[in-house]
Amino acid sequence: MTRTDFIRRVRACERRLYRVARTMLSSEADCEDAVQEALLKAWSKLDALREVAYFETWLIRILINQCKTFYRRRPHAEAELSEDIPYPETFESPLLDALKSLPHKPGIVLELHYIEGYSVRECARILGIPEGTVKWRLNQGRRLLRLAIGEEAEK
Amino acid sequence: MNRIMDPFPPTPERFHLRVEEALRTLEDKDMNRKRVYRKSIVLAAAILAALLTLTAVAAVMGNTIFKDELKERGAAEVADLVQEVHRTAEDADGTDFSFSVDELIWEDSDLYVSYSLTVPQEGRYMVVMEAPVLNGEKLACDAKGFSGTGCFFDPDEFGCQAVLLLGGQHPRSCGELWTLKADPQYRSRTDNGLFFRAVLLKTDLDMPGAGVWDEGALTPPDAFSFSGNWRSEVSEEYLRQLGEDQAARLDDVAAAFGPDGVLTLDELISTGCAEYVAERTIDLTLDASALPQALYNDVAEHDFDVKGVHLHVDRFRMTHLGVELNCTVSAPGLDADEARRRLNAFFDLSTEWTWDFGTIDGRDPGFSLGGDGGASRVQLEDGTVVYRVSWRQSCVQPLTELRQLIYAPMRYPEGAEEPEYDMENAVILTPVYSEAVAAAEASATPTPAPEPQYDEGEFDFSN
Repeated sequence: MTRTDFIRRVRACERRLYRVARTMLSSEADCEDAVQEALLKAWSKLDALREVAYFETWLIRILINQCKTFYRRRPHAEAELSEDIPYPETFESPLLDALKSLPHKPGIVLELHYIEGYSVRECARILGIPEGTVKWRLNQGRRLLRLAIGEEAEK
Repeated sequence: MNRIMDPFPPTPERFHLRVEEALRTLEDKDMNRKRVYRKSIVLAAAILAALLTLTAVAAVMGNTIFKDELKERGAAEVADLVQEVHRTAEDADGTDFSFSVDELIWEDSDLYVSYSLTVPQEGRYMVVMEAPVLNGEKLACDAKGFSGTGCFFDPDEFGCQAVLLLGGQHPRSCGELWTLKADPQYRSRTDNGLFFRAVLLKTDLDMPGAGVWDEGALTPPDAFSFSGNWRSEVSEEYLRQLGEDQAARLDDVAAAFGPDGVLTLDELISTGCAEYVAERTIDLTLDASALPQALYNDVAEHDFDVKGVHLHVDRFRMTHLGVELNCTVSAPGLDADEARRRLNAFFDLSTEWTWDFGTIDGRDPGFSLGGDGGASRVQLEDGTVVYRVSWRQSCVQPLTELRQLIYAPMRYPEGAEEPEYDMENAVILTPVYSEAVAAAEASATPTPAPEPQYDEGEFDFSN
């Protein structure tokens, strides 16, 4: 894959990268850092990508691992903020709030399956877990999401 | 799958700018790759020569992919049990299309079969593999190891088991491993009839494929989901890049793979996607009693008290290739309300844990080939409410490391990378082979294990 192809494919899935990072990290700044580091890592490890057709799922897996690293490294810390570019205005979405309130393991499976549209098998490939575990977390996530939506509605 | 509408805010401008910033900093790697390429030429030539030799041998001997896989995973003892068949269909029409069934092993209800295909030297081909038939019954299949490119189908829904792409830009030969779900009652028969049919179709469709089987590569890349649904939105761009004639014909393929149905063998031919060339059949008489198996069919201890409830193991199976556990969880001696509270606490997922198998020292045993599990609430005839739990996982696992295993809650501590087994509440299972269980099963009518339930309606978490 050439540099041009790499850039084209990354741009094509930028929105998806944002949603995945946003599901796992609470800070917009961390999302930006995680994606940036994931892209650099993906480019440096490109030789490890055996099939170009897997590029997107491969990149998302790298991003998820990067988000986990951020989560461990500074679970509650805010990244340094740049004053040059303003953060977006507050966005209200009860569903998003509920989704982000979930533990990140079922949360990311719900996001990949129901929002990104990946099949159970694709989720398993991305997350490196058995399909049965994906199904289990989907079931768990649906239950928790329903509870969380109920709590959001009561607020 | 019901997709949820995107609940996320618009992608922030600064996120987009950070992505662009990262992309600008990428160094061009082409030069490095050229150097690697030059260094690799000699090695590649040597590998190519070796592969050509191996291919020539494989054409005669068939594959041993299952044995090779088992040895690679350290399960040498079961590798030695695999029966090499290497039955090749006769090339009566001289089309140079080769099909052979190579390896067999029958463990519990799983009949593992590997086979090889080689298509003629020139041209692009699809090979339609029909679902194998055992004693007149079409078998459900799973696929575990792949070397070819193609699509894998549910035979009941799609009418064929798989379509492989061979020749042209794809390899000319491949070897595949299937798991056939066979009725265990055939295990004692010496005259099982096992039938395979492979149909060779020639095509000039440009189907690049993903290079690996389970990405659904018959159709344009990424356009075919694993569940068999055509992703028209993904394929549109691909179709635009093709010539009109090609795109029109791929539209036929897309239509056939749409929600209303998929291409049958006849449709592949009638839509002009492919042309019938030849077919091969193999009819084996299988003495199942002679097929080796490695099986634990029981556990030494069946009853456990854990987390304030009683867990009884109803059924346990473990082979080198899978582990299955069915158990009943109850709260005897308590009044209905307290029993309900205890059982709900046992299955309380709100604290984010699940149950899984582990090694005796609390490690993941590496059941990496997938699995199913779940629980359902059942009311017995006496009014008692119990939970039935069922787990089945596939694996290729050296049994020597699993003389004991645990079935334990797994917790995901806040911020932790990996889940941890809750060893205090672990159930320790000691697999055994029980002659009594085997004798009872041999005389009883086989009953299928309860299906795992994922429908949340089957669960009751209310307190």
